[in-house]
Amino acid sequence: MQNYSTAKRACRTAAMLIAAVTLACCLLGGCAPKIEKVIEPPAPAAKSAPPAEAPQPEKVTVSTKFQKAGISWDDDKGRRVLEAGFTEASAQEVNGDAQAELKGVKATLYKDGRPASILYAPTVTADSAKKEIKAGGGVKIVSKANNTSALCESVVWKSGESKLVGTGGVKLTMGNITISAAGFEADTALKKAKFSGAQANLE
Amino acid sequence: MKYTVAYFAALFFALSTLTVYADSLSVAGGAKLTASTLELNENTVIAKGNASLSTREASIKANTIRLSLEKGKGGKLGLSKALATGRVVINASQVDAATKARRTVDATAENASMAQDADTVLLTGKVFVKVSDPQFAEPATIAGERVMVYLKERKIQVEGGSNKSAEINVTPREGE
Repeated sequence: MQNYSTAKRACRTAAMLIAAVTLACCLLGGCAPKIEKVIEPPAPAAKSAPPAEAPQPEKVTVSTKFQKAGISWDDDKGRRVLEAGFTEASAQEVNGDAQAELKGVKATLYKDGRPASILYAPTVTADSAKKEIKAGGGVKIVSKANNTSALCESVVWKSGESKLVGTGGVKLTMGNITISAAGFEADTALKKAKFSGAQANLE
Repeated sequence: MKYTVAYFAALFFALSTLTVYADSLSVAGGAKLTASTLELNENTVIAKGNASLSTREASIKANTIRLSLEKGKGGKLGLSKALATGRVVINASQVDAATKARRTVDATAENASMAQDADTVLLTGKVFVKVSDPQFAEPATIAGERVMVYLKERKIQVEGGSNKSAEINVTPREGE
């Protein structure tokens, strides 16, 4: 009877582990990152075995940590939307939406299947369902189309609209012109932008 | 009206002063562009609503100011053309280093454009320019429909409209 109970616990633990890892991978867009799994073993059995008629539920904790990995998104037509490398990540489900928290991010943002800009940010929340990312902690975006680059506190990128919305201490540099603003909206390649509370300085 | 040597001297001085002030509109020493909204469209910066472009010695205010950028010799984008449209007001002020005399130029027009490589400033539409200088008994004025200032040649071309001819008024100070 005791052997049967131990086997049952082992099966249950393995099933939960597989489910957790699968969920994490799905949340991160179906990527195949290097995964480090930390599994806390079940609490050691009590010295005196519990009565057979009232078994104690075992406590199993599974945490998934991704290190030096990457994610990628494609659109319905199979065109690349996003490629992001990161130093650390975690995944969760919030209100039914899959979200990944990435740290130390360098992401290539695509427009019509072509690289449009590179985004650097300390933290990024990636919503794979909406194909949106929110970057914070001081963000830098460098256009692949021209020499334009932008710095700001935080950015929301809506891939479906090919729109970047940046706020806080915006500084866009294009050749001899630097535009300082409270906020901006731009296309992914930083070719077109609108600024609020702005001034431009020419060298 | 009796034209004297002093009159022509003052006229020449007024026009050459204007070319000097037009030169001060150059952004070579740095400039600041502000407006209600700023837009970037490819290589053009558009300032809309109370737009103002300020250099060290001059300012241009207008409804809209467009700055066109082009790659320069070093491959870096720089200003190639500036276009101000709608209720253009230009103010320039300069202190003569030798005499410490302050000279000012105030101009209004419908539109103004500057081409950096061509070194020209063009004012169009009800152009009125006032040049104040201690050498004049009263400010010199230029009025017309089109005023072109050639910065390198120190030359000014004033054209009147179909209903009104061009005007230049200069009154030299007594004894000048």
